[in-house]
Amino acid sequence: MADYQVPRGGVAKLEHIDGELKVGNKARIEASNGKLVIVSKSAYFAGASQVSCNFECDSLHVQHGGTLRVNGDLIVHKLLDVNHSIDVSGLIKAGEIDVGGRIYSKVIECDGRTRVGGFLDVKEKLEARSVDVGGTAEAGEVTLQDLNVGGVATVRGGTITGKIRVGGKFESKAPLEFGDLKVIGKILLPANCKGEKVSTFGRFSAAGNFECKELENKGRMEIKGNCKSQIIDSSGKLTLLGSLEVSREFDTWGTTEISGVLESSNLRIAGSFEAQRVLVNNEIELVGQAETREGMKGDVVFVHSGSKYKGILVGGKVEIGKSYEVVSNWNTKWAGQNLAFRLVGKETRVEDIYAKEVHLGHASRCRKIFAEVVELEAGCVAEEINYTKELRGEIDKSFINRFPKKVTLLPNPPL
Amino acid sequence: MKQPRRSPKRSKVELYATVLEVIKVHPEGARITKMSYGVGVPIDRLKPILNDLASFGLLQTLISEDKDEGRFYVLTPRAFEFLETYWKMKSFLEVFGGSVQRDFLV
Repeated sequence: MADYQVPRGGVAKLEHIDGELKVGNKARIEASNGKLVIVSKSAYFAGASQVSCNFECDSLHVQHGGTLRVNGDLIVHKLLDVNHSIDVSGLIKAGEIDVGGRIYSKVIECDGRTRVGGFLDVKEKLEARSVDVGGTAEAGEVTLQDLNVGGVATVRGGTITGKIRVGGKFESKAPLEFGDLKVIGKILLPANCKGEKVSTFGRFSAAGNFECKELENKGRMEIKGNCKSQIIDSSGKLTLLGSLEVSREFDTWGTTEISGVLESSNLRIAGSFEAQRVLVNNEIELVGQAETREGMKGDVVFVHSGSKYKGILVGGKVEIGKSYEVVSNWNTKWAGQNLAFRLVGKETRVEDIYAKEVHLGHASRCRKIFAEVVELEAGCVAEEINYTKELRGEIDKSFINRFPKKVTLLPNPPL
Repeated sequence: MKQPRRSPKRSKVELYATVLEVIKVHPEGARITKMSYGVGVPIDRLKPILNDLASFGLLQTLISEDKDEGRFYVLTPRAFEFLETYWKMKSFLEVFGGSVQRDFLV
């Protein structure tokens, strides 16, 4: 059959059209074989029409208002272009999809881009190179390269290898593997999600264990399980109900609460920090307040002027009450700068220290020191000092409650 | 067919953000008919919104030489800035327990 036209409100029984199909408004297409209608070229629908079978064409254009309904599968080899909305009960397979209003389907398989102005609803599976939605996207399992949604995006797990950009809220209801996730509003993830990078400005919540190479938190982040990462930069609030493993840098500029153990290569704290136990391979810097229940251990530990730390401190070299100049060189981050200057001149306070070398600066106070070498600055206060090699500095201008003891053996550090 | 959940009434700024997000989906230029279905607002109501957005410097109108093609709307860099700020502000207010509508758009 050559080019074919279905009039407005008409009903046509078709099978194979070797040409174009033009369908008027409120018309109905049925398959004469009961299964499939094939159009070799383009199909044009004037508006709200109905296709009561599977439909296959080269490209499909729906003009004007109304929803095109397809009771079956829709296969479009090139472009599926819909001005208003389309509702397909089965699969949509297309080269490219461009819908102005809403798209509803059970499964979408798109080789290229899928663009929807308003609402995308895919019940079971969504596969595409990139998906751009202006309003809301709700999809089942996804296999995508990129996802850009203006408002709200909800998926049921899957893989998004490239960028995810969502303005309002992003939620996954099943484990998701992702590339670069940037959501300005809210992120809700289930347990066992894995990703390359997360940037959040609002709320982030992971319902269980979470793994991500890079975490940037500028809002409120809550992980209800263990977390593994390479770099964490948190300038908001970070709450972790499990343990945290960071293989490179962990910078916290706001508030951090870790219920379990923190293991990291480097740790910089500016603000408030709490953990069960902290084990750091290299350097710890503290500007602000920190507390651990079982202690903090690092190779080099700097507790800057005006900072407070509650718990046992273990290290190779420990410097307490270090001047602010070093802090101001950290970088230009607001929280670090602000805290650094606010804390200058205030008393630095720590508890028991176990180290090879301890430097107790001016206006610094600690409880017991167990170290090989202890250096004191004028105006420092210590309850007890036990050393094996040397006690130096302005000892006569320091306040030590008990007379310093030179011992042959130091007790083993608790960490 | 599941209908999207939508708040009962969108504020002017929410509507502006929605319009800009829909245009963002079409970087080569969005047409008003398609846009109206995406935003969920009839064309006669959408036109003054587009005029407002253009006067704020958030939109640029492109007129095609081909009469059938008509007008296209594209975002300016300022619009991208606006959208980023809008969503950031919205999320900040959510964290602080407020809302854009209540706290800024009375």
